[in-house]
Amino acid sequence: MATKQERINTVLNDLKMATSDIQGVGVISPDGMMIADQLGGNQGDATAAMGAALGSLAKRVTTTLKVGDFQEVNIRGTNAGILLFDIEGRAALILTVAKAANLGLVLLEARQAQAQLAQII
Amino acid sequence: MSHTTKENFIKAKLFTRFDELYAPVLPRIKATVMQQQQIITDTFYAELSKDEAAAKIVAGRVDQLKATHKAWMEELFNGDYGDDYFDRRYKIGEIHVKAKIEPYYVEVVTSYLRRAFADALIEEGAEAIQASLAILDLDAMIIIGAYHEDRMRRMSEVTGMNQKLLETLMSFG
Ligand code: HEM
Repeated sequence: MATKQERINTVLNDLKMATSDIQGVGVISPDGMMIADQLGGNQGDATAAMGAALGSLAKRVTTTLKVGDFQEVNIRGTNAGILLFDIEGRAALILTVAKAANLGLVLLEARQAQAQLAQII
Repeated sequence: MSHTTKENFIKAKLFTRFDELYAPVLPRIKATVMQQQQIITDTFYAELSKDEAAAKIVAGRVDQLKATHKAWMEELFNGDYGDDYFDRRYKIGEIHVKAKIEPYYVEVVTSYLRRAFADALIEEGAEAIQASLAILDLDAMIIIGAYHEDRMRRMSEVTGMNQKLLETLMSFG
């Protein structure tokens, strides 16, 4: 029987393998702690905190502006993109994607992973 | 939520060896300070009322505030500075937060109180003055702590970020 951590990592591995447009993936807690880190680089702690901040603020904005439940955030930088998906308020899935990523495929795969992670976490 | 302030209060008491050095002195100097209580309290509100904004806040209730100020001073020299003391002082802090009194005013009037206590105790020697300043500093720390925690609480409410996350983010600053 795989541990929770192993099951989370399996979902992240599959997601990362789905398309080369996905550069890094991670799961973070609402406190800003890294639950699973496959982002690459050495900015895990800062990414977890910033990602959690982004998720919290996005949730607050969706509630205040009454646009339903918060689902995801899409940030585009000039060099790459960042996507954040809520996992039922218990965690968030964060992705870094290539500059000219095929977002259709990335979103499809990421939403699938989001649903799988919601079952695990 | 007074966790951070309470932890700081306990740490500050240990740091200054408050319970050992100052707590036993305070009841001994109570009578001397309380002889000056009325003039200290009257001057406290007179000084405060020189500021237009502060005067508006206390207007119409100065007599009632003078009575609570007296009770506050009495307790300052009672010799017991445990959990109950902390809780009551924190509550006083929360009352000022709710009354929307800028923390700046608390800082400046505490500065007045420091001078007034030193004046009242000048004949009693350094140990007496030090003890009175030590407890005043702890009280100010508790009141300002209540302001700090209120700001964190409001920040958390506004941004949706929990307080642990806010602390983590600030550690990157
Ligand atoms: C070290 C400084 C201060 C001390 C020790 C102090 C002490 C107290 C105490 C013991 C109370 C009664 C709390 C209770 O009801 O249990 C009180 C209430 C109050 N104080 Fe102060 N105070 C300080 C500074 C100030 C300042 C600077 C202002 C105004 C600019 C102020 C305005 C008030 C007001 C308006 C209330 C009543 C609040 C309410 O009941 O809504 N205080 N204070």
